[in-house]
Amino acid sequence: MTRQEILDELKKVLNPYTTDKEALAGITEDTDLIKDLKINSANLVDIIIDAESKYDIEIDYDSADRMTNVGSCIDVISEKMGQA
Amino acid sequence: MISVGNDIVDLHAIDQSRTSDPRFYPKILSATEQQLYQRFAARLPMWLWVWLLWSAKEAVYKYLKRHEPTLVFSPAKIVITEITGEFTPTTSFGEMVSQIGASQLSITILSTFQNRQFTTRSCISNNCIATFLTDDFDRLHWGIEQIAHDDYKSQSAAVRAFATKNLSTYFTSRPITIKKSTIGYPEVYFGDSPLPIPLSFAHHGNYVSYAFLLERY
Repeated sequence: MTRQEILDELKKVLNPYTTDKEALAGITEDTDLIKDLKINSANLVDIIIDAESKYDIEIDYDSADRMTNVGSCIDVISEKMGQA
Repeated sequence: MISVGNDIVDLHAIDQSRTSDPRFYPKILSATEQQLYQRFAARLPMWLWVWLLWSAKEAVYKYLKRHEPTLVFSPAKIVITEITGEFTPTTSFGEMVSQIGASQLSITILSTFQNRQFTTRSCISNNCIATFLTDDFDRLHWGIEQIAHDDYKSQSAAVRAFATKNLSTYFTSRPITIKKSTIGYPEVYFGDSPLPIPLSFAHHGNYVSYAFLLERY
């Protein structure tokens, strides 16, 4: 998958956890999950679990820590998919 | 280091079955914390335990983040080592509570992170879990409010208004405002001057909470 394809799919993963649909529609790799999309930190684990299911990957603690913005989420997902 | 951190969890906004899923809670709890649960299993359901520990970890993170801007929240690395107190979630604060001190925060949680130890204080009501951390709990001012709408803008506006109202009772001669620092935590201002009052906000679902530390007057 290309980074753009992962980003398009990631939008669907993030969708249930943000009420700011306008910000979600306009996300870039620099978009911060908490600051820009206003996702509550209590939902960050949900996003990691949903990403694991969607891409059939396992995200360890250290990788999960890095998933603070869209670009780093794509980094982790593409790294883990490459390991599969 | 003088700081304050807090967290709130709206129990109605939690997916209880998902929290108990063996794929979910190991993202929050370390192996030793999962073992620690066995001592409390008769008193607290697993999902409530997970979110109690989450709120303690989040409060520690927010307490530290003020002075360590690059710190990343890594819940499994803040390790809870001991919990004491009254867990039965029977306390009900109603729609709004503002308190000074920790007498109503009946749960004490010890944790370690990067070779430092922290003591957080929590309460569980029928509706929410709230946790606080500061350097002197006798000087801690905290509040919890139930709000009508659970979107970010409503939460943000509500917690700011709630904290401003309570802070203003101590600054009757000078109007204070609350601004957001570049790191993201709230700061108390008098005009263009920041006041040395550590302040922390939390919101989740239909609940918001503030915490600040004041000198004794």
